[in-house]
Amino acid sequence: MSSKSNKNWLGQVFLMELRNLIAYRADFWVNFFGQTFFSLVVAYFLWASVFEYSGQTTINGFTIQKMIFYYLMVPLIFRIQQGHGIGFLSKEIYDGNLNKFLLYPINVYSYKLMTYLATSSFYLLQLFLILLIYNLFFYDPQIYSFSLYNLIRFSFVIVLVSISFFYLYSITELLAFWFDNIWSLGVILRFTSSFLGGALIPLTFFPTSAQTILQYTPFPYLIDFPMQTLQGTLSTESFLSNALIATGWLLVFRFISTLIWKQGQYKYTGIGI
Amino acid sequence: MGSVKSLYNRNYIKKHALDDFSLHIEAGEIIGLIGSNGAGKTTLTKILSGIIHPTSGHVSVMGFNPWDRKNEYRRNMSVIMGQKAQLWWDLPAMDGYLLLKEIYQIPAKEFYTSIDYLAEYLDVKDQLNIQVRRLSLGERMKVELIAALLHKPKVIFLDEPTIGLDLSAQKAVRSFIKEYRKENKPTIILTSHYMDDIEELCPRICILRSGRKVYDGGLKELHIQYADSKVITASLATESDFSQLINTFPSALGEITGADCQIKIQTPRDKTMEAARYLLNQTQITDFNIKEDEVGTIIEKILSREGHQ
Repeated sequence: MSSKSNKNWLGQVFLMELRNLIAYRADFWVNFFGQTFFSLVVAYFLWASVFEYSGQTTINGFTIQKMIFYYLMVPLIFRIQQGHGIGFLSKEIYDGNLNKFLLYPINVYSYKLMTYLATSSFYLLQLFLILLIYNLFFYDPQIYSFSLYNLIRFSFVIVLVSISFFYLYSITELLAFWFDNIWSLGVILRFTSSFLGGALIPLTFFPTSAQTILQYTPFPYLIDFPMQTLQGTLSTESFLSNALIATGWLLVFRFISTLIWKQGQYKYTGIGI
Repeated sequence: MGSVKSLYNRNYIKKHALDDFSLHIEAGEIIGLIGSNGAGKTTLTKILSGIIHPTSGHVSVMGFNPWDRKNEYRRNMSVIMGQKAQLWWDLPAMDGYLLLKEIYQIPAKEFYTSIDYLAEYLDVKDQLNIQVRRLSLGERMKVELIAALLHKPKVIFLDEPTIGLDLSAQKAVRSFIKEYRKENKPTIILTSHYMDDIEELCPRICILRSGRKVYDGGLKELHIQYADSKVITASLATESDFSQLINTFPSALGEITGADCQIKIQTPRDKTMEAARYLLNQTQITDFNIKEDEVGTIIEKILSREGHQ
C-alpha cells in the first residue's frame, strides 16, 4: 500500500455517484421533464395573467418571453445548486451511516462534496439539454444572448455557487449533531435562498431598498448571479466583482461549516450499529 | 403529550455507557465482547475504532489514539457492522471495491488477487457485478466482508457479523473468519449475541454488564470459574424405566427433566459422577452424554447476578 497522498478516489466517488443517479433512469427523466414542464406551465399562466391585467408588454425589464425563459432556467439552476437535496448529512448523522465515512482514511467533507458536485453536474447536463432544445426552436437574442464564452462563464459560476451552497447547507445539516430534528431548518433555508435569491420572483421586482440590502447577503449570488451570467447581461467588471464576492461567501460558509463539524463530532454517538 | 412537552422542557439522563473499564488485547489475538443490549459493547467498538470520543480515559490501538483518526491508523483497521452496509446499495459490489482500491491506495495486482481469493473462498464470484440490493442477506454479508478486508487490516472490529443470517450462511461466515485469521493473523474484536460465533471463534471473552467488565478471560476458565453444574443427557431403553427414573431420581443429585424416554439432568459439578452412577445402575440406557453447562447459560447467569464484579 502506498503511503503517498492520492486523490484518485475523488474521481471514483464522482463517477460512482453519477452511476448511482442513473440506476433509476426512467424515474430520473420522468421527474426531470415533469418538473420542468409543470413549473413552466404554472409560470406561463401566472405571468400571462399579470401582463394582461397590467396592460403592459414590459414589466421591470421583462417581456413575457423573457419571463418564460427566466422561469425555464431558474428552477434548473436551483436544482443544480441543491445537489443532493434535503438530508444529505443530517440523515447520516441520525441513522449512524456517517460511521463508514469516519472510518475511511479520507476527508469526509471532500467525499460529500464530490457526491454533491456529481449530482450538480448531472443537473447541469440537463440544463444544457433544455438550453439546446430552446436554442433550436425558440432562440431570440432579445431574450438572452447565447455565446460559448457566456456558457463557459456560466459553468464556472454554477460550480462556484454549488460549492458555496454545499457549505451553507451543511451548516444547517450539521446542527443534527445537537438537535433531534433539523428538517425544518433545511426547508427554511431552501425557501429563503430561493425567495431571496430570485427563484420565485426576479429580484428586479423587489423594492429598491430591499435589493440594496440583499446585496449584502449571500442569496443573490446563489441564483440571480448565475442567471444573469447565463443571460449575458453582466459586464466583465460586474462579473468579476460578483465572482469575487461569491468566492468570499464560499470561504465564510466553509469556515463556519468546518468549525461546526469539528465541535459536532464530539456530540456524535454513531447510533445504529 | 410527551413530545409536545419536550419542545420546551426536555429532560436529559446522564448515563455512563462504559465505566471503570480497562482492557488489553495482544496483537493477533481474537476476543469476543459479550453483554446484553446496552451493556456497552458497541460503545467500546466505536471508541476503539475512533467513531466516538470517550469523555475521559486513555485508548491506544497500535500506538494510535483512535480519536485522532490518523489516516495511517484508519488504513490499518476495519469495522464490519452486521447491521450497516458500506457498499453502495444501487451499484454492484465491484464498483464499491474499486472505490476502496483508491481510498486505501491498494496496488492493482494486490487488489485483484485479494478479490479473487476472497470471492472464491466466500463463493460470491458471480455476485460481484450484481447490484448489492439484489443480493440475498447472506450474499450481502459476504460481499461486505470482502469490502472490509480488501486493504488487509491489522485490526478488525466485527460487530454482529452473522446477525439475521440463516444457519448455513452463519457457518460459512464463521469458517471464513477462522480461515482468514489463520492466514493473515489480524487482531479481531468480535461482538455477537450468537454463542456459536463466540464459542467457535474466541478463545478469550470479555463480558460487560452496565458498562463494566464482569469477566475477562478464557472460555475454558469461564466454565471452571462459573459453571457450578454439568448436564447429563441420556436415552432410556423403556418407557417404564423413564417413568421410574423421573419419579425416584434423588433431588440432591440434581434436577431431572425429560420426555419420550429422553432425560436431561442438571447436576451440581461435584455430584456429576454420583448422578451418572445412579443413572447407570438404576436404568437401562441406550445413549449417554455428560456435557459442560452451555456457555450461553453460564453467561446468562453471570449477567443476571446483580452487583457482581
